[in-house]
Amino acid sequence: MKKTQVAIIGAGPAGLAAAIEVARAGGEVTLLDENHKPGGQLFKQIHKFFGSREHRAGTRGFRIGEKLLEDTEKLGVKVLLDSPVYSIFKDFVIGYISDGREKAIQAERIILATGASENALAFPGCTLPGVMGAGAAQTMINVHRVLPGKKIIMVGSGNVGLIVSYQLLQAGADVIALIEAAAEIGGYGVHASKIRRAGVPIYTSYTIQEVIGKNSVEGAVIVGLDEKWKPIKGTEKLIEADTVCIAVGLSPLAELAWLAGCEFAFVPSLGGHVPKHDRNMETTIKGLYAAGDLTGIEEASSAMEEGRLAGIACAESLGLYSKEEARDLKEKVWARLNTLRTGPFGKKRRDAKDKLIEMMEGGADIG
Amino acid sequence: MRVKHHPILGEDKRKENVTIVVDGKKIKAIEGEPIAAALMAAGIRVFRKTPKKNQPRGVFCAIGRCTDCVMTVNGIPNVRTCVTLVEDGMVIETQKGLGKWRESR
Amino acid sequence: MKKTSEIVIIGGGVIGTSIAYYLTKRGKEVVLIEKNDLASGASGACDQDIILQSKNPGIHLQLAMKSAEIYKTLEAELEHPIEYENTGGMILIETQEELEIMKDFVKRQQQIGLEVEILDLKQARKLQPGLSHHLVGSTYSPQDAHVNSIELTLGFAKAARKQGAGIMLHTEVVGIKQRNGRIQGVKTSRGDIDCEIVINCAGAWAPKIAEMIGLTIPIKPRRGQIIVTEEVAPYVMGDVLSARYIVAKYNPDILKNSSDPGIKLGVGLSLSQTQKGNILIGATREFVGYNTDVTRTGLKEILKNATRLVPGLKGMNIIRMFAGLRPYTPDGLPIIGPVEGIEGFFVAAGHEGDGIALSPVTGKIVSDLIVDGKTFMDVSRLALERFTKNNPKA
Repeated sequence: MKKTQVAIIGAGPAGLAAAIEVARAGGEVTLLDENHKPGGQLFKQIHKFFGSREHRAGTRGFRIGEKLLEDTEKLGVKVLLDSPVYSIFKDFVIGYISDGREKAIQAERIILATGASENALAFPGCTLPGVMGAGAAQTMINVHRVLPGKKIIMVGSGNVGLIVSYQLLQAGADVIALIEAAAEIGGYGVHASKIRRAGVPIYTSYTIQEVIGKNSVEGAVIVGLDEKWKPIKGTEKLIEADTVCIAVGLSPLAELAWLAGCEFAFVPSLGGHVPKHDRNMETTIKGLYAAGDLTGIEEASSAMEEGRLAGIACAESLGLYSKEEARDLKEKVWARLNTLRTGPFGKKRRDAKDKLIEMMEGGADIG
Repeated sequence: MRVKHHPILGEDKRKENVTIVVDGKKIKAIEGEPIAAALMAAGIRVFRKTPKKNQPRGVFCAIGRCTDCVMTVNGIPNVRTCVTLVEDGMVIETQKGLGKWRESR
Repeated sequence: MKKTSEIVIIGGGVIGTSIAYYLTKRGKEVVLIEKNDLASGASGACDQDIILQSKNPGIHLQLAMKSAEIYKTLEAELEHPIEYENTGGMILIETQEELEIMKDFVKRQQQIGLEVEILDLKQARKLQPGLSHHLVGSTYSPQDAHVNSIELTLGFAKAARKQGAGIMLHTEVVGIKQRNGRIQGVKTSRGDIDCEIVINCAGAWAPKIAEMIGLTIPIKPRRGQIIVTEEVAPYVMGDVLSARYIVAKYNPDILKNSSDPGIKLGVGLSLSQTQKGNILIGATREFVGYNTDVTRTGLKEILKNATRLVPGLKGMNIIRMFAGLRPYTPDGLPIIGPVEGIEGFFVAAGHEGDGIALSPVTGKIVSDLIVDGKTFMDVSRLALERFTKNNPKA
């Protein structure tokens, strides 16, 4: 059986950043990803990232992706693409599929960076072609350069809903309504004002009641909500549209962490069930690390920082860094992570993460 | 519809250089793009019909997770079209229910 | 929770729930105690076969045939969809040597009254077009059937509840009270229950329950790993086993001495398709204690075996794999009946891979024995005492 020192599963921002850190420390890394290309969801992010200068703020997501790939290549990270990992067996034997065949590789350490997937929303007509994830639409326009439709309704006004709405406009579509069940826009003001300036009608305290259409989306009925989130009779509006994009959050893709036997915590503010981990991003299984959206839904910048943490800690555990060297490096990453986790959105995640880490030290379960 | 011009990504210079056959009809596609993207560019939205109620389904997640976009490709049912790349001459069919499985080879 | 009950059943698998159903049907007061959830052991981690022709001709087959008869009306009786389907089934034969063994097996089964015959490859492929061309033939019985084992367990439990059974989930039995050789009650993680009769239906865990009253039951957990494919259009007709499965089942010693990894794992084909379209591909038969992990070797060997016999499976996507612990007994027969020397203690366990097929008849027999003191057939051969040294029947 093939062997590797460190196997990293998932070549998105967290996995790539982790790979770079381990390789920089002199570790031998194999990075596995199920897709044809590395980068995860970075290459569909054509907007400028936030954060400080260290986070390469102001740089567009796909440019950051290009830089990460350049670094992984320079450092000699072995990347296995088109290689979906189907399980992690005893003794860190990783089973994966490649060229239609089952293969395995055994690792001394594993870093899981499997990311997240978009949540669906249930309403009559939600299965019609033309109803899709906002991230899916983003992939289509920015990576594959194909428009999913011309007249688009966006459901959800978090950052994903706002950013994708704007990018749909950039790609030439018409966003005819942005629907938000809450009374206020969910995402950052700066994204929201771009949408407003572009003249997209915003319906707060509205939800989608039904999508209509025979073989694909032809329109949607939206309805106003009272303060108890109950539909208000008489406020229904029929909007003609060919596409409904759903931006109602993401859930960690945690299957491999479950299969590996990690202990989990249910943390709604992090997206649901997430593997417990410590400040080194090490899970309840010794030698198995997790980073990025898998450990709680945030954004690419924090995913990269978590990847770096996992990479440094992993290198330390292999003796590639001294305790002091690792401590200095990790402290820098933590400082940057803490800056990212500020503001009303960041604070909530920081608190949740702190609790999650506390639980590894025997704290109480979070509901 | 393809996004030819883009304010940030610039001009898409790729050429439609392969041909795929969808339900008997020839469609131009770009080498290296997923089947789902090629179909979407051609305005095709219904990828399959469900087994019990014969309802239409199309692309939902576009990352190979939800399996809503599966079609019969080169005679094999349940192929995830959002993560399977087009190949010249590929035969793609709208999948009816669970499709037909080949007999013993 | 209840503090007293006439009867306490330990184990919420298909056997325990079946007995709870039949006992309450006869008006008995029953509490069923389950450590985890209904069907959380082998009953929820098995295939869906109710296969008659894999049973050894004799009492084993007789039990299965009686059970098959009950199955015909069970869904209506339980008023719960258990996905029962009388599909027929076949046992694939690969070599002349196997053919000779199966001819003898089939002849003895026919004598007991089972409808079963030997088909040549052409006839077999007509029923099952996916079969490999290297096969010699197969057996075929129209009497084999399918059932959804989880729905079956839930169906028994629901019906039992309706008839007044108390069902306590996530409750662990921690001790059994007896005085002067008489059952007095059980101690559980949620308090004590006084009772006169305890029925040990804990499957592979039955020895652990028995230990609580100093009793040894020769049941061992035997791990069976099973693979699940994506939903595909109808591809597998009925239940499909391989003759090698029959060998693995009744001759564990032969397997022990082999160096072939597949044979060592006791891999024998068991193939069937669910109503939704998923194909269940089994199975291993391994002694690894109470470990329920699935293994990469298990995966590879099950698939190697299955695709050799049915090559068309090769292109299908696998979506899941699971393992269950079958309660193995040394002679391949379940242990059913009262235990001598401890009044009020019954065992109904050790069905290995036949628990689903034999659950209705087991429920019927145990309820008959408790209510009437006898049942429709002589079941003394199934008593625990057959394993005790000084027993002349052993």
